[in-house]
Amino acid sequence: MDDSNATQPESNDKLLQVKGLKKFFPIQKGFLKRTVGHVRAVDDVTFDLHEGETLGLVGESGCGKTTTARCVLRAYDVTEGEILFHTGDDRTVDIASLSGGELRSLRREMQMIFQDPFSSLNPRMTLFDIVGEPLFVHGMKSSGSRADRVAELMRLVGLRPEYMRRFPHAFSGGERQRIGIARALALNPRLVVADEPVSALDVSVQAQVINLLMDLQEELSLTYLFVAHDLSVVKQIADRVVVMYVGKIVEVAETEELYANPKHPYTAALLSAAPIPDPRARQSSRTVLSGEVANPANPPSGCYFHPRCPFATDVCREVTPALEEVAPGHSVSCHRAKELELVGIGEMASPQTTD
Amino acid sequence: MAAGRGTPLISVTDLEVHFPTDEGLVRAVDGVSFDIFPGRTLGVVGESGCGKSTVGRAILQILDRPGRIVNGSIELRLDPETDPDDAVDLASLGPNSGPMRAVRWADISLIFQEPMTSFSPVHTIGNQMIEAIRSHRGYSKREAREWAVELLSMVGISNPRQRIDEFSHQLSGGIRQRAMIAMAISCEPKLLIADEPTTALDVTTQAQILDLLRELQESQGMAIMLITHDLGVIAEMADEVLVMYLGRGVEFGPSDDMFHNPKHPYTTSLLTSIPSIYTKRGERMQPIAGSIPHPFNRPPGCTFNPRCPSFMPGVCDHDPPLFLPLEGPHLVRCFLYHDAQGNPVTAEAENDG
Repeated sequence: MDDSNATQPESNDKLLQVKGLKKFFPIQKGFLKRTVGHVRAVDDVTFDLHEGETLGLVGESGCGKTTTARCVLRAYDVTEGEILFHTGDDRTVDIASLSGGELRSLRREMQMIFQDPFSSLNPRMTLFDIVGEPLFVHGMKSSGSRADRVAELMRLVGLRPEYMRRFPHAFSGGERQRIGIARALALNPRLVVADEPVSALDVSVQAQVINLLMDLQEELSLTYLFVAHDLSVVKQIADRVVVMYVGKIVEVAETEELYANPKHPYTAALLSAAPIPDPRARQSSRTVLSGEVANPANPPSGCYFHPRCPFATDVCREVTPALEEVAPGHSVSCHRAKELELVGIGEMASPQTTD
Repeated sequence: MAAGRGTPLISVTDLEVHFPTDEGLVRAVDGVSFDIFPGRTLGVVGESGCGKSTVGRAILQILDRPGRIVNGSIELRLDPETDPDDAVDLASLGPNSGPMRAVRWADISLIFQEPMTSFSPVHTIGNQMIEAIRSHRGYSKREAREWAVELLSMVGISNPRQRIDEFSHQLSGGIRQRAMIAMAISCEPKLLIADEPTTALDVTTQAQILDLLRELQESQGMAIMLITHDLGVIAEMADEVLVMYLGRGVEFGPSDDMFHNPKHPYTTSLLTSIPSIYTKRGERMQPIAGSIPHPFNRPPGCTFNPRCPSFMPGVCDHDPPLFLPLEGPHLVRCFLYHDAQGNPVTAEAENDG
């Protein structure tokens, strides 16, 4: 379609720049629905996304990773901040402040893959209707040309075009996720936001979908914003990783660097808690975080992580740390990032050693 | 089947559970055998629909209607050390019979996957625990309450005297799962069945709960049957592993063998299809082709045959393979190792493993 002849992606081309993004949800109480507080779901988040790369967005439930992804697509209105998107015709627009018509025409450049392949497909629509709907909305009114395009998309994601007239219930979870991917790709988007695309699938099927996403990225030069809680999936697919905790970014780095050399205690704890599928790698000295994720409606003072942090000092309890670059491309928001010696996965009991 | 780890606490042999429905017969469990040894952890791993949860429920005879055990035995030895011959076959007891009710919770208890729905929303945590304790032990109300408070602090809930009077919705997911565990160990069971105990939890909370289960196992000496789809959790916790596929046990053996010397093609494929945090960026996993068949539409012969990389036409799609010992305590259900009569296959096929 019209973006397919876009300019060659340059290595440092920023497709998306998120600056100071905030999204607060009001807490309303009583008959008059007075606003008594805010859930600070996303609180001052800044990151870039380069053309053709995959950025992993990880964190535990309630950390704001899905809200961030939805703000990027303007599925939610933004409380504060800028989301600059570099369009196919070489303009830079602020998604956060676009109005209806402009936003709608921009949506063809950014699409979403959802987590649950069962609830994200309308059970009363055939595959042709599901995958063809974005085409129809964006101007392809002739059903013949739509059928051709839908068939092409279905082949692209590894489904047989003969199944076009079937309903979603006839397909397994993995096949449904392929349908969701075909729908997302219908308009030749440049940015695809994938919100936990494999976490609802069986383990034997996850690998199929991950491999498909990696192939499609190569073939169509897609840019992925990949939201996930599973660190091993992110390790496999992402070029860079953003770690979030209670609405804030705690660490950003290239994937290998982040896993081998984490600078934030939370990242190190996440890596240490991830179970490794090898009984010989059972860790005797695993750092298990105590306590629970802080409540984003009533976050702790200072660094939000300090009540669970084994290295917290007085300054952590009082001053909120800023995201600072500690090495090229590696930013951390921790007061003690430079002095702490945290272990990444390289130095943990590797699969060869026995205990 | 008794291996070198003393006498098993529970021996399940050829268990079959069927759900006759209007659309047809669902063979949810279709031939599963395994042992659980005192104080050890059996990991049951499999994908959705493999019957792993049904096995756990069948042991307690709390199957949803219209499910029932149609074949096999579940032998429980209450005192495996001193009196190995004193075994009760739970499969032969009626689901509502007195002896079965006495076993539930007191000897074998269960933790469910969803801590949200496993507590009653209209009773306090304490009342639910006290009820369970009093129905199995002759405690007075006050004694039962004291014991409940002690249990809550044992599972690491701070301020148990206050928390005991809270409702389940007032607790976070991790604390709720801890309370569930406290309730499950309230009668000091010999076996704790944990059905996906950490699936609904975040990874840092999961690490806390797994640590807690390990500590309790050490202090109470109970056996754990850990049902999960997560091979990482299995690797971290299990001593023995049972791999299930479409209602059948396909491989059973020590955990180390299962991860480093797997025999069944399904186990092998499962291990190569999952990424770990050691996976390199862009590295491709080897997915298992196809997807899990519908329960009404099972392939003939070995149910894994349409997806199997070692599929042998005329063999695998004909008769079902048998679940037989390979070496020592390692059992496998595959024609690479045994023919349809159960005779071992020699030489050339062995090298494939």
